[in-house]
Amino acid sequence: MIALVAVLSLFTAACAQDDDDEAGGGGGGDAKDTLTISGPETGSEADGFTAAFDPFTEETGIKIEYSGTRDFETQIRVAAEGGDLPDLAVIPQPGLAKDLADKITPVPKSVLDKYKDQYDPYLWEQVTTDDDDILGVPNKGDVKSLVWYSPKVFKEKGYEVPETWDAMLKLADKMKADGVTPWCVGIESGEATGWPLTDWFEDIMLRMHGPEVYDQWVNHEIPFNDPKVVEVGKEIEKIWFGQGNVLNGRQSIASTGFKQAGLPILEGKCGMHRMANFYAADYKDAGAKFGEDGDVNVFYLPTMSDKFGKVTLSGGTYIVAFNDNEATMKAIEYLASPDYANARIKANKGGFLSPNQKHDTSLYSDDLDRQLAEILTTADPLRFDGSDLMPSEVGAGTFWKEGTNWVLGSGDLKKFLDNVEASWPDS
Amino acid sequence: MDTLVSTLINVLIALAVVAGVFTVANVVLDRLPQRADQWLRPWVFVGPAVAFLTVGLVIPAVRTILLSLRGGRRGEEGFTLDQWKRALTDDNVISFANFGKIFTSRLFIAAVVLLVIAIVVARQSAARSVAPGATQRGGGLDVSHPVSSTLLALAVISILLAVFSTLRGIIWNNLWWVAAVAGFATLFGLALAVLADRSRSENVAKTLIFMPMAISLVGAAIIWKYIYDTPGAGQAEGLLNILWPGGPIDFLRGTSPTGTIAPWNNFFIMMIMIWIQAGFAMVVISAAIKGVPTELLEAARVDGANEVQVFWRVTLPQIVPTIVVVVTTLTITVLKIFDLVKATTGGAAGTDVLANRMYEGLRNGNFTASSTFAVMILILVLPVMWINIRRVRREVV
Repeated sequence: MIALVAVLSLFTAACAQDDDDEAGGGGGGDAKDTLTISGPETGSEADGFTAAFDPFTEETGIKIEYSGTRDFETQIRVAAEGGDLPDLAVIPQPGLAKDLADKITPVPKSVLDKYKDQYDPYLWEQVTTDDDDILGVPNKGDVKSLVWYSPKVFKEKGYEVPETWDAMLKLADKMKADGVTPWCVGIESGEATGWPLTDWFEDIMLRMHGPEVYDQWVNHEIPFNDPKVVEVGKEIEKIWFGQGNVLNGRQSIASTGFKQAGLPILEGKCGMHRMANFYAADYKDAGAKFGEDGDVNVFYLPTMSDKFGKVTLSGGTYIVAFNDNEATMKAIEYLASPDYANARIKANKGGFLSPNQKHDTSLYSDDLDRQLAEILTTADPLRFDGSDLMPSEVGAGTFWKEGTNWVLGSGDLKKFLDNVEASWPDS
Repeated sequence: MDTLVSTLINVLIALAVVAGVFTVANVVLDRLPQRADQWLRPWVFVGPAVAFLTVGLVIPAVRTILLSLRGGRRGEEGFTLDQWKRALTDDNVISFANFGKIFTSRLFIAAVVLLVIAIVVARQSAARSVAPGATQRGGGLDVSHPVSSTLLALAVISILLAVFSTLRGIIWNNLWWVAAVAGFATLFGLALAVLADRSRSENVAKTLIFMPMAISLVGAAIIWKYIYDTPGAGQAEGLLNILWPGGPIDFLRGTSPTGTIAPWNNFFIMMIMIWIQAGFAMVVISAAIKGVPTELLEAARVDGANEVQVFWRVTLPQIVPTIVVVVTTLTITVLKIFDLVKATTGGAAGTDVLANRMYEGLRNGNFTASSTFAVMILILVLPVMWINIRRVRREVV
């Protein structure tokens, strides 16, 4: 019954939408009073997103209707094909924005003039088309180049936060000698099993070969089974598959949920956990306190050399517009401004870091977020999560699946990289 | 709340419009001369349904088939067989690489042994019995003998398992799903229906076994994930790993400390579906067993048949049509299997199926590839549909 009502209400919503389109048709006509937005964020993150619109609604009288779905990427493509797009969408992959480029209204010049220099130029490049149109505004940022550790254990055993890659590997050996398993790794994530592996590849690729090779790899200017990628894989094999390196051993990696993987840090069962900033929410749920005197803290995943600067892997979302209605454009302008970031931070619902360099970091509710936001907005060079930039056949398909098979031992590194290379779409 | 109210109003208006149209049409038709009425009436009443089917089913189906035959990710290029060639030459989709290994697999050897025993038993039984049915059919083979038919069934299952656990690729996987789920769910359903029949706690037992049907597939997948869980960081050990000697085994992905159980990890996902569908098979078959005329059973008993003979020679032949219905229904359901695989492994570790590929095509914005896999499912479903339709026709006639 509920399903029936839901279907029918979708139907009526769709009808209502059509009416709006007719009224506002032609673009730039009468302003709408309600904007529809869809995106991948659900739960408390969605609450944070909608709460950030309160000042906007107060000022302009334009309401927003957000619908989040975990299945966003598929839904938006089908909606684009069927001509049933929302006014705006939160897009987690720049590649997806480029695929939908002919449906997207580029960010207007007036907005860019005002806010373009408040974001890392690299972030804009990722959504710039061949015609120099900028498709979307960076909406949310994640820092991925992080290692979580227990300050208590570090103090007790006299470990120091490593500043270089080699120091980190040496620290791992020392931990092993002390009977502490150095790493916690888990890549299970239901249908998305394997994605944490892609972050490891990207982080090490950046550190080993630098941002230029990273871009070539992501854009398929070098093959996926290039010797440079093999080197990265070998480095991961060294850390992950080495005897006693990972809690519960190699064969547990693919079946350990990424949500659970980092928690043994709190019990001192393992020393380090390389995972993005959003893992903070899981430690928070487990009742952990952050900071140097707390239960858990982060350090920046060290670099392998000084050649490439403080390379930082990030992730995040963009917001794109599907029409040039006055209200939609007002919303895009608001979303690009630091006001949006500040409102969302103040709402303090779900994890959120702003990629906007002018937002007020003093608003974050804890030091950890402030520290992370600083890493994000001062990163140089910054690079976006490569698997989100690759075509989704690879970035959300074979990279995960074949990588998982490699970790499971049902194929070696060569087979993994060859299979991903073979799956890269032609155009 | 606004949406709810407007939805309710819309529903009421729609219902009123439909009722109004049909009433008016009826009145108008009544006034027409009889011949025109006779010619027109079916069209007026069936018309809307035909129109809905055309818009909602026929047009999308034709479009999907055409799309699978076109080039480009969205079918923007001309007709070509590229997508089909790519899919069918992909070793991940269908591979015959291990074909030779089937004949040396333990399961295959076991099947041959079972088959030999079954034939011997069937021969002896035929020689002993004077049943005319046996001589008519198998030239001295009595395959309806309980032992030989059970062994035959086991042999067929073993051969199928040998084939599907050796050949890799998602099409083989889909067929394995069909054989395993349709086969085992029906067998369990039949066994349960027979065992529960006329027992004192029949209703309670049947209700309990039927209950999994009420659980959504994704919910079931999550429940079973807890059963299959390996003891890992911060997560509890699953029930099966506590009971399993020599664990911990990752049942869903097939790894264990001593090696791999792949491709049998597939079977542990199929188990979930068998658990769900056995209840369905049981309920339907149970109804059929109750529908067998008591006169037949009593006549058999009067003739001196024991309960085993009554079941194998009277009840079973009577319910064969129902079993066919159960098997075909399950086959169609299972060919479309998606949720369980998606929610457990997402198609990794050699567990991918056609419907997941279809979904991934949509996610990747590759509509032609997606359509190709959709059409593959359609092609696999068609023979089963055909059997079903033919059977229904025969029954009507």
